[in-house]
Amino acid sequence: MSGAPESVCDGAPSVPEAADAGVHERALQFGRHGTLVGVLTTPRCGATRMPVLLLAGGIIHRVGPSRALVHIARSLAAAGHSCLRFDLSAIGDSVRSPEPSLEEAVVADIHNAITTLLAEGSEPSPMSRGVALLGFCSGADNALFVAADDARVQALVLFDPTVNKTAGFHRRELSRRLYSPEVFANLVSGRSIRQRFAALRSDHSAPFPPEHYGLLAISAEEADARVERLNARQVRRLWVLSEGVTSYCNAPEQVAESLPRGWNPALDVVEWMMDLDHLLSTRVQVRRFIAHVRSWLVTIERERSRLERATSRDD
Amino acid sequence: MIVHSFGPRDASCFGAWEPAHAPRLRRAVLLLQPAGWEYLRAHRAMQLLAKQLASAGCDVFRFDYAGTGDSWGDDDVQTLERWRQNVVDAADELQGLASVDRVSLVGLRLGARMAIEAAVGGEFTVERLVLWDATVFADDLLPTAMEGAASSWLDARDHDAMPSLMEPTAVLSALARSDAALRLEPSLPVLRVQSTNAPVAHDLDELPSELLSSEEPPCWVEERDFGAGAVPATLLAGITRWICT
Repeated sequence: MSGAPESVCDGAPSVPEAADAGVHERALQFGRHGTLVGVLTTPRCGATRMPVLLLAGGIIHRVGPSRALVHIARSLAAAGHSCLRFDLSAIGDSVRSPEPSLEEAVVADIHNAITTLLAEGSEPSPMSRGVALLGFCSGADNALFVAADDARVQALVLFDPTVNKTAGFHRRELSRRLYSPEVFANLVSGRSIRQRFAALRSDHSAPFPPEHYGLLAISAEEADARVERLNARQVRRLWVLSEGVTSYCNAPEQVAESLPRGWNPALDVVEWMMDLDHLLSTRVQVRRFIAHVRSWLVTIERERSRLERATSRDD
Repeated sequence: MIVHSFGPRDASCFGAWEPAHAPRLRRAVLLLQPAGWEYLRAHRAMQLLAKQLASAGCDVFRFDYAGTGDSWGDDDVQTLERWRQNVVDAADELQGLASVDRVSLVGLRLGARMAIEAAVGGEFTVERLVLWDATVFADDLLPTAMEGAASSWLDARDHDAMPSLMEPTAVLSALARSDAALRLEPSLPVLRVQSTNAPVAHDLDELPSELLSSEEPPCWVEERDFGAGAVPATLLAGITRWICT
């Protein structure tokens, strides 16, 4: 797949209006068994910035809800980042892998994707030594899980990841309920009691998600420990939280609360973007999201370059 | 499965070819996807149908219309005219890959309308035609037609956050009433596939056809909140049997 318009590869941090401009796309089959399917999007005039691996959430295939991942990959590629989006084993067009455990398969899939992205999508430059993982929902959980053990990951963008509930969450929730006229009205009218009874009587025999959901669920303690491991490698994290998280995360500070050892203000940034929905359903939302990610990636690349120059001067 | 792009270099489409398993029937099947949210939800069912048909000896090709899925472009290239050409290009691609001169079409929802038009258009020879939960007019896509289904296509339209990125609005608005179905060659074998709760395209009632129905929910309606639809195993097996016999 190739785009016709002229290139906009000037290294400018702004997101090009025409997301398809100046990029090239290629469908790939890759991985240890040759069974993973993905699409590599590269800047037509060569990648100049950190490659980005996009990890879709749930069981939606690699285009993502609202085709958002396609737009994001093309926009980031137009700004100089090679991007790979792919299907985990048994999701979308990738076939089930023979590994016996889900964890083993998902971790191997993402390792394979990073290898492919670095081999196929990067130019020889300081930034090609590592990648950024950009994960959505369960894809963000997978990104965090894998990044702790893969030294090639230099940055993480986590869109609506799991943020564990904390004492602060329950305190804020209680406070909200105390002052909510709606909750008060439900209590007085007996509606909330009726709803609880209805929930108890409801049919719970609905089908479960497919066996292979591609989600590496971990405890709050393990999440904290994994983030702590990232600190040792100075891996930057951008947490983007949309209105989709409000059932389990009700304030930006909850990310820090949930990571008592791992949270590091020098490495972690939380963007509390309640004007975005969980599916990034509109063009405006996608543009806003890309703009944030793009400018954050530019910032961390500049800092990293500065650090490398300082280190080489010292040497 | 082999993935590749096809069509004009400046507007290529993503395609996936499932080569026939031995013994080959020398039969080629082109799957025509629905559009918008329905495309996302039905992706797994269409992929599994392709695999089942290939296992039964058919060469199968499925693709994303211009401006959708992995194919090139954006809203601006989502036009009915271009999508019609995509179908012709995909059929040409499949005929080349499978070395056959006729193609069977399986169209789901909007894909069924595209299949009817391709069969009537005569740009390639259609061997068999499967119309699965067919929508013949844009009106069929309205939520009222899907009463009782949890999240039909245009429920999304009511949600003010949804419209711009998924709906092929230009294609929908171009879908005028058509009597194309009535102009189908009477000798063309047609199978109408009907999922439970899916709207019935009564305009196809006059069409000589066989009927395959099941109690399974439509694969293009979201199953709970998974983002994807259920896989209608009975229907997939029925379609495969009908195509291959």
